[in-house]
Amino acid sequence: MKSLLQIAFLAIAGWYTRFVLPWWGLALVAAIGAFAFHQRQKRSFWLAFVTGALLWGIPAYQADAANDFVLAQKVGLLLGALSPKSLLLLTAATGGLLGGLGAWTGSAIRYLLRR
Amino acid sequence: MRRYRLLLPLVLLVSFIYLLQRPLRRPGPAAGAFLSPFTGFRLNDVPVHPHRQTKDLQLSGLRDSALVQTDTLGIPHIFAHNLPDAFFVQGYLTARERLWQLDFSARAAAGRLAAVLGPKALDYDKHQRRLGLPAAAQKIVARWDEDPQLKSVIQSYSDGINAYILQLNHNHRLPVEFQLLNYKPEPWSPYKTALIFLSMAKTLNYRNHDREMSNLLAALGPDQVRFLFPEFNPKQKVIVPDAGQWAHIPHPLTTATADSTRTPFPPENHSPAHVGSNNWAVAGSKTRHKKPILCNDPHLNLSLPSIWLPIHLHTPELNVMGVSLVGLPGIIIGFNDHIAWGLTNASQDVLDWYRIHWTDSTHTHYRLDDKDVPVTIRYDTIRVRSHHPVIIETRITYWGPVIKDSSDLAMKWLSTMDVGGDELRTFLGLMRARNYKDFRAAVEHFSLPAQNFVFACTDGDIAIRVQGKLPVKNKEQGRFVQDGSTTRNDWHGFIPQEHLPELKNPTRGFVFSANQNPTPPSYPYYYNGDFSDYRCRAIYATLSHLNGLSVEDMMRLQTSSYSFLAADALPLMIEALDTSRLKRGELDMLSRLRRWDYFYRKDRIEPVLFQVWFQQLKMRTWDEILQWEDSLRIRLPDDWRLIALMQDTTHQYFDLISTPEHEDLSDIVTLAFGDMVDQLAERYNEAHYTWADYNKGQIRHLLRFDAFSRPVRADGEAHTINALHGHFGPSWRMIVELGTPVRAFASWPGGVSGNPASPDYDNWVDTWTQGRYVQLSFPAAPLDAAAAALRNTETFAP
Repeated sequence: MKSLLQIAFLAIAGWYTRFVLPWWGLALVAAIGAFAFHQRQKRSFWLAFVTGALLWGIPAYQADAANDFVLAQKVGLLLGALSPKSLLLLTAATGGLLGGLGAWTGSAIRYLLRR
Repeated sequence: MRRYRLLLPLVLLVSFIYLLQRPLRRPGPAAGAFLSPFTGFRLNDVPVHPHRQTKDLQLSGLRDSALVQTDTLGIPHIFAHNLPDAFFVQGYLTARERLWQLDFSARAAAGRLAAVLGPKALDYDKHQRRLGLPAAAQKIVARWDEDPQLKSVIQSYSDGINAYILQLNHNHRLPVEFQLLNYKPEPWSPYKTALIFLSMAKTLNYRNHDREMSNLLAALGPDQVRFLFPEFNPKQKVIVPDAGQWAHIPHPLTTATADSTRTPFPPENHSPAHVGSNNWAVAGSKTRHKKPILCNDPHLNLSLPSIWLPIHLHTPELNVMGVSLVGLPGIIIGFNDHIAWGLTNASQDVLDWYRIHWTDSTHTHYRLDDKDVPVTIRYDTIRVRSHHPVIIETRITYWGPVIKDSSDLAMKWLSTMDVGGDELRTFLGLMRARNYKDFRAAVEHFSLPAQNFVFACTDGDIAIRVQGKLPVKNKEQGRFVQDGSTTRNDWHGFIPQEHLPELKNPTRGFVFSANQNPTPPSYPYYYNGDFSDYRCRAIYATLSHLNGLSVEDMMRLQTSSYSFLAADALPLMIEALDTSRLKRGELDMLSRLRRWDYFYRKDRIEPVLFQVWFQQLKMRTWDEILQWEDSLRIRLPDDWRLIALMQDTTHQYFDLISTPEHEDLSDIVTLAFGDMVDQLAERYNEAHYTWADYNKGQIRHLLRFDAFSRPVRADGEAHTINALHGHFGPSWRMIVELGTPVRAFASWPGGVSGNPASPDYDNWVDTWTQGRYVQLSFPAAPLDAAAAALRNTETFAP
């Protein structure tokens, strides 16, 4: 249940703050979520990693696909022979790591305070 | 221990954010921000298959409502109730499609690139400031302020751009180049429009060879210079022939200007520009439908986003379509229901260098008319990204600025002399013109950069006029660096309007220009310049021989890659070639060349063989000049001069200075053939090495990003009508048949959008490369929103 709540919180709060917070804001949201819905740290990391990866990956894929990967192709080339697919993976991994590391940090703080 | 457990994720998180806060490339955005789908480059993703849309939008600043219909080619058609609104919407749409280009072009003109690109742009900025472009732009704005009509047009356009920038601040959708360079757009202003105008002037009237010619004068002596660099090519077909119209004008200044400078000028890196253009108009008497046809294709740097933005403006008082320059209101080359007009560059030399005689070691005073005169010192602060600002001083003399540090050369250049600024009146006049009289009245406002204006009207008139402020010069004045210690060496005013060359309704039934000499030597005023020899002959040959011309004939002519240069030179080269010295593979090359039809076709090897052979022939022939290449600024004689010299096969210039033997044309041609074989032997055996590979056609992104550029494989070379040369070429091809209704056909190497994600970024390129055209939709009233010719309909309300 707590896992679902943590995911829902991150997904919803992450989505609604996406234009308000700086690009790394997802980490902050994930930390708050993990703090509020306390889990084991490892579990907290993975839940938030997957949620964060989807939160960044899905809109990125949708935008790229609607554009037939034209811009992704060009930007990938500009950044050094990155294919649109690897650019997309990089994006999802960034979202994932922001979520995951944020959540892990949140859990760790809660753990620290509890002891 | 517990602390550590907390510390580890925190350290990892902070390091990760820190890492992604750094740019992927420098200067650049934070990697994380750039990758984020909410703040990064994907905000520029647009659907490749957009749905037809009908939208109502609020646009504060409009006086009345306006309608914008975008056709299937991406061209906006603006229907406004008044002129200011039309220009407001033009500005708004230009910003929507090309905001980064607007910002970057104005920055480049003002010498403010280092602020976004860093120290690598500092030299460029310094040069722009020294030239005085920002100061000259301010003077132009002051002129506009005194003219209510111009001011209203330019201010409306500027307000339209700013209306878009204001909206942008709310939705954060910065064009990808802003993201990549990590900076934000600045508000637009009429001053920036003036900068864009001056930047275009610089592209077109900045060429000069004074220093090269002075070096050659010192090295070769006046007789040889005049022999090698005659000022008029008798084979050229001038724009306006002598029909006795100038007989009443006395030759105002026949005295030659003596050159007085002997200090040599060192070489400098500069890549040659291949800007040029063609235009012509054919009278109804020569066309199939008995209606005049006007054609124009300006050759410029082929860039993405394209320099041009096609647009249709409709108000109760005008209905006009054509291309606008990004940053300038109105239409520069185009047509309305009555007339069509086009431009080519007039190529006269309006930039002269003067030697300054400093009278003190710190260069604050100089000699002028036997007096010590102080210079004015202008200080400019150049901001440099991530570095301290740089302050530069520019010494300004009677002639103009001193461009290089501690130099004794000052530049006099028409573009910064406070004579321009009324050019937009010309375009406003042309947009509304209904006949020759209106055309003539409109063009008289045009000062710079001097252009050959071609004109055709539905009433049957055709005309061409060389228009601009052209200095009255002594004979040979401005060919060489001049003595700057006496004002006697100054220009002597400008050629009066009524003496500028013009041709209206000639009996031959056509007028044309291709950057050639405007007039024969009998024209009473002296001028020099950089004139083109071969495209004019190609146009003349076709137009003078053919009748019953159709739009399709004009398309064929505009995309012709036939080279008069090759046709002149190759037979002489083959005749002089000593074939007994050739091997088997080389004979194969020769036989290919013998069969060549002189068309620079993209998939042929023959143009490459000729191009390299002729280039090597030039290098071998002009060894007397090239020996100074490393120590002096030099230039080589024109190609036509070498071809003319080939009639005298034993001329001294064919002798190689490096050998004791006495070579003649045959030796040189044969040696050059060997050079060509050496250079191309490997490539020649590759099955698919052709002219397109050699010519390396490319439409380059303004930041030279390959990823945003497009290589092109197309026919043509600098001397053919279809003048594709590397990243220069026909930037807009337009053919207008002046019937009722007016029909227009076009093709261009670009697209309306400046967004590399958009299909409209380069959707016209293939058509252009293949030499095909599309008919432009030019409705007299808004179309039904469901019309097949339309993509979007937007209604803007104030």
